[in-house]
Amino acid sequence: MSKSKNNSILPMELINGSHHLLDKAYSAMVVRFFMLQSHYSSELDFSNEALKGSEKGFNRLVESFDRLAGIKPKDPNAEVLQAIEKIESNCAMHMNDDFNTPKTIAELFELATLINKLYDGSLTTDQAGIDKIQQIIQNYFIDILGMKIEKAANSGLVDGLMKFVLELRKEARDKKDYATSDKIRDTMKDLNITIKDGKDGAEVVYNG
Amino acid sequence: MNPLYIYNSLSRQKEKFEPLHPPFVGMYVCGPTLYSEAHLGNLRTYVSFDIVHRYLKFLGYKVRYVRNITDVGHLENDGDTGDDKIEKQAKLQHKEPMEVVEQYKQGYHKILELFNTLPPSIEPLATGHIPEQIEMVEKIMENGYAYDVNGNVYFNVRKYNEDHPYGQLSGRKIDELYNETRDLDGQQEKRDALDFALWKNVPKEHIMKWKSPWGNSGCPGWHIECSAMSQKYLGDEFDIHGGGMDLKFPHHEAEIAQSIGAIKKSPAKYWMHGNMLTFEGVK
Ligand SMILES: [Zn+2]
Repeated sequence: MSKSKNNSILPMELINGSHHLLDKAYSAMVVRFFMLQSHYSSELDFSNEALKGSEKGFNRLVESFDRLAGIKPKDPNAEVLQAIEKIESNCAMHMNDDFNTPKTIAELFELATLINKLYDGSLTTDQAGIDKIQQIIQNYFIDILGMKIEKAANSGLVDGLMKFVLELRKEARDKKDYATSDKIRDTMKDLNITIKDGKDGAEVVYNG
Repeated sequence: MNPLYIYNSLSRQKEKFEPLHPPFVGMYVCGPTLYSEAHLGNLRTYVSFDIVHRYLKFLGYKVRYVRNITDVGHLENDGDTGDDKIEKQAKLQHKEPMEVVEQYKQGYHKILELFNTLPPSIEPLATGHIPEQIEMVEKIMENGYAYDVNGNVYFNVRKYNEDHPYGQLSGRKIDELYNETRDLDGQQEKRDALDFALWKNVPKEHIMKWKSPWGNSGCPGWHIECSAMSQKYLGDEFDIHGGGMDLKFPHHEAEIAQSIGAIKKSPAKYWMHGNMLTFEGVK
């Protein structure tokens, strides 16, 4: 393995993006996450596409885990609690099966989907449910997979601010104050944030 | 809930994890030879075993995790001939061998920290365990599985194979191995192509050299350090031995033969191997 081409990539070259085969830089946590999305006993192919995919996935998880703090406890819901517990027992089952990190990560994506539904209010749970979710994140994502929660591009704070910016823009447009609404859009564009107008109102896309 | 199952390279199947002395678990992982910066393939191996380390701790085991640093004795081509990788690098950089090791050790630790791997409990250096390695080579000689030619001590694979099967881990028969091995090129003193060095005679000018029963100027072979250091810190028999897939043969096969050859005990119950990586499909 010491003479093959792949090994001429140094970890630092991934992090600072300096290797000629790389399109961009990746954080150490994204690279670690990418590695864990394959089983240790399988060959792992590094590619720009796969790394970008992992970065997206990592951000999706971190964003949803961030949202947990913003979820208000409501009445207990047996089905939701069951779903949370199922995810936890599946994580344990996969780790017990020869440290199957890719399948464990797939369960954490299930958890993220659930959190997002709790966040937008289409599902509800009580404090015990929220605590259980927090515990799964701590145990599996942080302690076992060894991931650090870095602030993703659109963290909870950014989400809140963007919602506010979109409201201001909508108010300006409603008043036909296009100078202001365009200024908001252009400023966001300079920050690599695209505001897209759709049927259900404006949507935010983070580029890069 | 299912108990933990580990794929054991030795049996080639998933086995229920039953540590020898619960709640303690001993794990040895082969670390780097510090003659260059750790590359991505190395990093993947250490991240893989970081998961094993973390998960065993999560399950409540008290883990002693030993991961060595090779700072002498690893020759080019992973064989018994050629320059010592570190010695050569030192010459190129006009440095002391230990300066080279120190320089890359810092980078290695920095990367491992950046990637959030937990440090091992013990990180022994080969140069810090020369007496232990000499003692082990002596035991292997006493048992008749090694011979000395002009200060070079070789492990006698054929002799060993008469008493214990060689090739258990890689799943290869000794005859197949002969077919794969190049003939002795005449420059080597070993009697048989499959034999490997336990102790090497080195030029007197070398800085990394030690006195041994076989001469005044020598250094250990690459494989013996892991056998000596795992035994010292984890005992004659311990739970998990890990490393990259590329170390399965000959390095790990040699480790098993050395331990059995010295103390008639196979060192580890579970052998684990992390796979390699490619970039855009290229190895
Ligand atoms: Zn080793």
